[in-house]
Amino acid sequence: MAGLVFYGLAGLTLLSAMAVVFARSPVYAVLFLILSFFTSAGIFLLLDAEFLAMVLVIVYVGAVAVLFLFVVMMLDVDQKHLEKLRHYPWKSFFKAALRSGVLAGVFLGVFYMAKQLWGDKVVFLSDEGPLTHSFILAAMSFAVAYALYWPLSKWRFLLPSESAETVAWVEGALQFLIFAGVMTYVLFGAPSLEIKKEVFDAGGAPLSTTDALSHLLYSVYVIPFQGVGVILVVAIVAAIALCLRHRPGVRRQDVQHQLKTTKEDVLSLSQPKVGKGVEWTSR
Amino acid sequence: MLDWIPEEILTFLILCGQAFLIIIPLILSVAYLVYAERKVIAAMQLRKGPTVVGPFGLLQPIADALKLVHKETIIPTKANPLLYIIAPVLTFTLSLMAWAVIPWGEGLVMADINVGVLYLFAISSLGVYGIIIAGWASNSKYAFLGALRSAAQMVSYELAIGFALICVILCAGSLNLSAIVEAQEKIWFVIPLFPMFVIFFIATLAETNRAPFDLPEAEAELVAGYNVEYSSMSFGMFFLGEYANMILMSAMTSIFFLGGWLPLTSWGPFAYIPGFVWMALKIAFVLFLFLWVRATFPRYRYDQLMRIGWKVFLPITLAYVVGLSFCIAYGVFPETLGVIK
Repeated sequence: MAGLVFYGLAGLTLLSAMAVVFARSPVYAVLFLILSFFTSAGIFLLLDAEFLAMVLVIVYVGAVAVLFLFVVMMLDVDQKHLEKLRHYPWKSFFKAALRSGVLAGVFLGVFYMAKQLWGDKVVFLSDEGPLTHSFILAAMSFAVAYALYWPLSKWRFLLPSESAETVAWVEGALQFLIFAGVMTYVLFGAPSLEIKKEVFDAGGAPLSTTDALSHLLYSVYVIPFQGVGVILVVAIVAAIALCLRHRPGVRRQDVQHQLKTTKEDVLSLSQPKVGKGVEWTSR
Repeated sequence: MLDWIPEEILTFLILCGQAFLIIIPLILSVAYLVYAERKVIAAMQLRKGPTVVGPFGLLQPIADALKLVHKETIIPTKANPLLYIIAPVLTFTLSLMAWAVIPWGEGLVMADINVGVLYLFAISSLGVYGIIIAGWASNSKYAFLGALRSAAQMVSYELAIGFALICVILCAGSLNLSAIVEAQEKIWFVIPLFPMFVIFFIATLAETNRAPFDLPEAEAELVAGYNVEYSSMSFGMFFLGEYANMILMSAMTSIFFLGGWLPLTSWGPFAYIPGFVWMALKIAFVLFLFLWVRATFPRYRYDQLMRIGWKVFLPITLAYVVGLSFCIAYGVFPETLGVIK
């Protein structure tokens, strides 16, 4: 039964994730993205990770995707521009997939050969070694990312401007993301499995996943966790610094000013003489 | 007696029965909440409210519902029919879903899950989708403007709600709703967390798009906002969903701050009143506050709404969370609150 539910959810996740990429209308793409978030939350629930499932729904569906939808609905999408998307460079995609597959294969081959030769001598390479799983995952994710990244250079026309600077920025960002993903796997992926087991075994009473997660986050991973917080704060400050501009001549509400205003500031009584009226005095 | 039914089917039937036990009283109370709203506001404005249909106008909500069902469902020509139909269904479903975890007494809860608070928060943060999808699918500028306003408003006020909930969780030491109520046996959280209670209440007004934050449906500027193109039962579902959400938010307020099913005092006859009656009384009290606010305050301007959300509530709640966790960590009030050590 659980297996059936898992395959249903996993299949739905994959299908809706594909639909995000291939949907014609950007609004439908975002809605499919939300669907895939939901099914991923369902998979988390199957794993008894109810805290992660709820946080996924709250953060991604409840906040991030709302803003996506908000922006996408307001965009004036040019259908002609979207038409170009249909000519996806499949040929170069397959070429890149082949190339990255060979590359990942070579990586894994070298790794396994080293493992066969020195596996029983060097702990680093043994089955219990912290790097075994993460290395395989890293190689696979690298291959996939490379295969997806390569064709991007073929559809640069999708970028807001084709200036060399923009292209360099986008490519740099992508390369950084790939690098960061690989490093995350290598540094935190596999070691976490070992430590998690220790934490679960340590206490006498069984911990709920929320408790276990908080113990891990605030003990073993306190530095990466706080580091993520610092990076997010930097990102927020940078985003505000980039967007904030004070336009002159815009009237803003200043509540303190309003509260401090007294009757004398805004009201004056005068006795106008007949035939003369009130004399205007600018304040 | 029921041996001949397979176990899975029996479980399913019991769950369906529980769901009906929640949904039917809920829909009835929505109908009479509308009646109460008209009567209360009428009393505050020295009018009489509905008096014609039935004694004291008690059958008025039934008559309104029948009238609504008889109307024609209209789908605008250039609307997106699929999303146009899904939006009200989504709003209505979400407003019912959250009730599964609301505890009505000790053990009197359909799903006693460990992360009840997060579940409630997740469901209430999804409510915005029904509105924004309705606004976009209607292909009408008033509906769309209303939807955009509502999306921005709900996302902003969710933060204040979240931080207020963190204060409650810090005091109760659990994410389970029943545990939160039990933690209030000594003192209701409304007393130590009074500022959070006020902010939570105001933020729930904004989250349910009620006056004075009903900008998404401001009739003077946006006709009726996101539901301007809807008619008949598709409008009815929005209406039901909105009022069910109001009741849900009141139930959340009474669980988090007013001690849920716990009695006001266990003196004399009060001890014999069952827990769910106390819960219902507290919900009714918070709902009365909702109506009172609507009759009292004028609508906020949009920039004022954003200012109060981001520049007033967010810093206050954030500072309160930090101060409260400091107090709890250093044991400033360990005895009065049911803090789990």
